[in-house]
Amino acid sequence: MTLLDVYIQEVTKRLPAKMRADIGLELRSTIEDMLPEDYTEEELLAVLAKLGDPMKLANEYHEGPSSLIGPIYYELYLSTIRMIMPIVLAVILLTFVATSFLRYNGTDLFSFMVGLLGEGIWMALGTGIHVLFWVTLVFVIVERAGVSPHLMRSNAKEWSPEELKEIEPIPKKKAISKAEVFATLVWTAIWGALYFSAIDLIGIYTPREGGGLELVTSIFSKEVLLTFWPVIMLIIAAEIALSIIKWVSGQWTMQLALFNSFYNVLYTVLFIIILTTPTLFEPTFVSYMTNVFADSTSTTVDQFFTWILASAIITLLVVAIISTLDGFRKARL
Amino acid sequence: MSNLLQSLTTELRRGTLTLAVLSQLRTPQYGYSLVQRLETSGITIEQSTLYPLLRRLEKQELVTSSWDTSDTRPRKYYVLSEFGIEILSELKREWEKTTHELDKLMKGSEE
Repeated sequence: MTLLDVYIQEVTKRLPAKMRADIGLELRSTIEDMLPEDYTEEELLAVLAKLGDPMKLANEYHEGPSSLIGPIYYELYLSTIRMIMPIVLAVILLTFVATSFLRYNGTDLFSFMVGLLGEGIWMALGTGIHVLFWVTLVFVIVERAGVSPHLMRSNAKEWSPEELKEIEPIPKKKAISKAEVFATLVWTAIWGALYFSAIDLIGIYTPREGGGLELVTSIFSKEVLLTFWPVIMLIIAAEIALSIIKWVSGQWTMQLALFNSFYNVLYTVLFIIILTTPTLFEPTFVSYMTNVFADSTSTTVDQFFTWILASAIITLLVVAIISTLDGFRKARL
Repeated sequence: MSNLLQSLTTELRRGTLTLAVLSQLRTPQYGYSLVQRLETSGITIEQSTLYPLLRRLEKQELVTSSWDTSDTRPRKYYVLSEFGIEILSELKREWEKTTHELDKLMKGSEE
């Protein structure tokens, strides 16, 4: 293999396979054009020096974006990370701390705290890397797919100064603050995480000798609740979608109010279905409550459960109705 | 300072390279003959820029290419397409306009 072959190989190995043969052949004929017949090694080296670094040459041939995230998306990319990172970190750490304390069994508090801190830092790091990775991946795909930033505009048209006339200052009563959306997202993540990972920790506790609490019984049956996972995912998805629409819109609109009422109906119906499942409560909890009410003459345990369920359903309905009406009221302002 | 000057100069020239290359492709040229033609007019172009540029022009359908294998050394010839001829004359007009305008500006700034 001559130096010329090596040079060409150094260029072509960095190119897409289908371009290699053609570019290699062209380079060879060009380099030979630049050389006299029966050239010496010095002459070859001089010509190769003129062509320059093979890596640079190969780069010049490269088509498509040469950056992971181009200038069009860079700002959006940064602000997305700034928005998502604190939410995810807050949720993960809060859930972690809460479940750790619930599982705390009263042994040495100091080593428990140290362990908590260490694991917390580790978890924060891991979560941060995950967030960075996934957000970056999405943006890289968007960049490569050539999604036009115009598509991200609400009307998918070129900007015209006429649009400025349509932008009205948002009345304060109509506005949706970023903090409110942020809080909703944190709340969604917390209850979602609790539902899937720690619902069995909600229960009746008694103090343990030497500190700490002992779980007597969980209230809800984890197995039954987990069978509802598609329903819960649907609610979470609707909640996140609602939050994103709120974030983007920044104010109450008729469409938003409609979506909000749809979301309210959805979660109310689904939660009522879950609440009225006969096997919702853990059998040990039911018998625990039966014992509690054994001495009572005025209330039976069945009445107790009916009363609990009825008030839960009424609360759900009232909250949903208030939220729906409030949305339409603010949209009409 | 000299670094800045260099990068500004490169930036200034970058756009004109396409015009320079297109202007020499009314007749079929292969890589090295094109380099020589440009160099006789005093335009130095890095070879590592030229060949990828030719490829891009081909992809943009401004030039067409064909391999000539009749010689002992196969050569890839590039020539302007119909579309390329059109674009070249437009670009040329644009260039004349720009140089004219800049000339006036430069003269004005010297006074």
